[in-house]
Amino acid sequence: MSDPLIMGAVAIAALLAVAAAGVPIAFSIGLVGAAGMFLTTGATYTVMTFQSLPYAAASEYAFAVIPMFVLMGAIASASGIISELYTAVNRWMEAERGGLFMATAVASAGFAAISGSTVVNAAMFTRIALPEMMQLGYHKGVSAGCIAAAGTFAALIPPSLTFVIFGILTDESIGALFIAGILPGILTAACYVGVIPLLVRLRPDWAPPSVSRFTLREKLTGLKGVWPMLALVFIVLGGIYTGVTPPTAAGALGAVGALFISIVRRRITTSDVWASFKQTAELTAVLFILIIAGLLFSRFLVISGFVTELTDIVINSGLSANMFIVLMVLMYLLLGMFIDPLSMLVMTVPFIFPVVKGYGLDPIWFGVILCKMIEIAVITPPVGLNLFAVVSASEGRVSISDMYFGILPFVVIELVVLLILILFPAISTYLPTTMM
Amino acid sequence: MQKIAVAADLAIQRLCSLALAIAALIIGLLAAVGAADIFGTSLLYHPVPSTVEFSEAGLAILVFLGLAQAQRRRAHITVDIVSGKLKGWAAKASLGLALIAAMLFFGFLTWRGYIAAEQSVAVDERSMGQISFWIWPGKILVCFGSGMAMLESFRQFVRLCLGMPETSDDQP
Repeated sequence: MSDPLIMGAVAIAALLAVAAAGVPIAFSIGLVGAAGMFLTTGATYTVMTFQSLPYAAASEYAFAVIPMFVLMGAIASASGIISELYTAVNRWMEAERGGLFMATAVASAGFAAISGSTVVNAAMFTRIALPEMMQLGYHKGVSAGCIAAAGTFAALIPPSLTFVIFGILTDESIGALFIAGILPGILTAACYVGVIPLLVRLRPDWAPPSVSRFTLREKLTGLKGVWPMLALVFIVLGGIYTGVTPPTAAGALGAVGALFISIVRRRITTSDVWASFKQTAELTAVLFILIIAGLLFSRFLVISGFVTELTDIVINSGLSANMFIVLMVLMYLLLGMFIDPLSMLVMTVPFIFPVVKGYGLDPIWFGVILCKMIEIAVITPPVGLNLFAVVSASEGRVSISDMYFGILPFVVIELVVLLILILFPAISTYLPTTMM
Repeated sequence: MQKIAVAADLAIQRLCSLALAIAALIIGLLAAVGAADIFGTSLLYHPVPSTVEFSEAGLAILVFLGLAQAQRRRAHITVDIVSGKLKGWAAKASLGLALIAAMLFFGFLTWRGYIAAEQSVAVDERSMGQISFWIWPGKILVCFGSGMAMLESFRQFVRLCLGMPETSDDQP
């Protein structure tokens, strides 16, 4: 089996088969990569790679950004910053029909700026927003759909874990990716806020008529709950954008900042802090073992010659760059129906990214498009990670079939935003060019 | 047999918890040192010496020490679209396969981690930064973390083979 293309294709098929049999993705990718390396280069190279690569990947300073941002999100969640943010936004938006949908979108975007996890975002808002939506007579499927879809903002709005892992796998600047995600993230949230009033006008049964329950004074008082989020965004993104702090240091500063704010406001206990540390340690281990396995697999694909051959074949096939992007969108949407986003990223980026570079496409722009596709993938039935996160966190209030119905309008909005980002690359590439 | 399994469960659980506690402590230290370094550099023009080297060593330790607890709670990401629908012996076979894969993967990491730690001790490996500190204790902890994850996978595999029920924190 000396043909690199056949070998790579067999390896990809084998890893899909092993993963489908229930083996965790990290072990599937890592073991298939190791077997491929053994067949390609022999035992010595394989064992030496196992000796050097995992430690080298786990001791790379730039990758310490992952635990730092996970910790910042965990502390922010534990200290109630998120529920205060939702309360504040809700007071300003509840006067509009469908105001709770819009409040969820805006507050989710705010929380996404301090948390990189789409699942945490969706689960948090299910607990905070869903009971109130259902109590006021909002359509339960659309409510759940709105929460699941808005939860995906965390994949695009920095500090996004998806960007970090994409940056690690492709060696692209994580800081530039973060900054590139700002405008597309704001655009997505703005589209939600713009389209939701139209949706509820077309389907009045989705949201009850608006009632204004809060005075101007109460609305202004509610804004007090917004400053912790704004302060953290300023510390983290301001530091990265101005070049004062690299992403890892910005993450450390954000985590300590979140802890400091929570302690000053007496919103966190010692046991909450310890639980956040432990939760972060466990999640870091899960993410890194996936990254290490992805890097092992990636090394196999490179040394076997698969990546070079595939790139040559695709580029020389006469397929235009635009057509290639269309095929990518279709492939990721299809994969996203069955595979979770991070696994999809680790499994596909090692061979897709060299082709992207071969076409001369902007890697940062492609990173944004990829994250957007992944954002859509986590809300696409039948297997959308965020759909399950919301159903599970709803404690029986919402069924999966309600969710499949309710998510559809938001998938359409997301596809429109994806099209805009593909047609206007400057939305993604402008801000990184202005970084200091 | 039951008594041995219960005692082994308890011992492994405590070791997993200990490993996670050390990892959690390192997370706190990394955040504190990283923030102090930025404050020191930006405001006092005095960075904390060897922050990068300390962060690198600490990150490796925390990653590998968190593995065992992640394995205990079966937190590793799985595509369960097929395996999630399996029942009876097919579900057991799927779980058994996943645990064998985990043992193999962690086994490789432990084996090569042990050799790397042995070499590190032999040359008295130290960091290259302004403050030179030993790297080899970290490499020993990395090997210990992988070994614990392998042991935990083995414990789950034995329980599966003996038909013993899952302990409460085994379940995903």
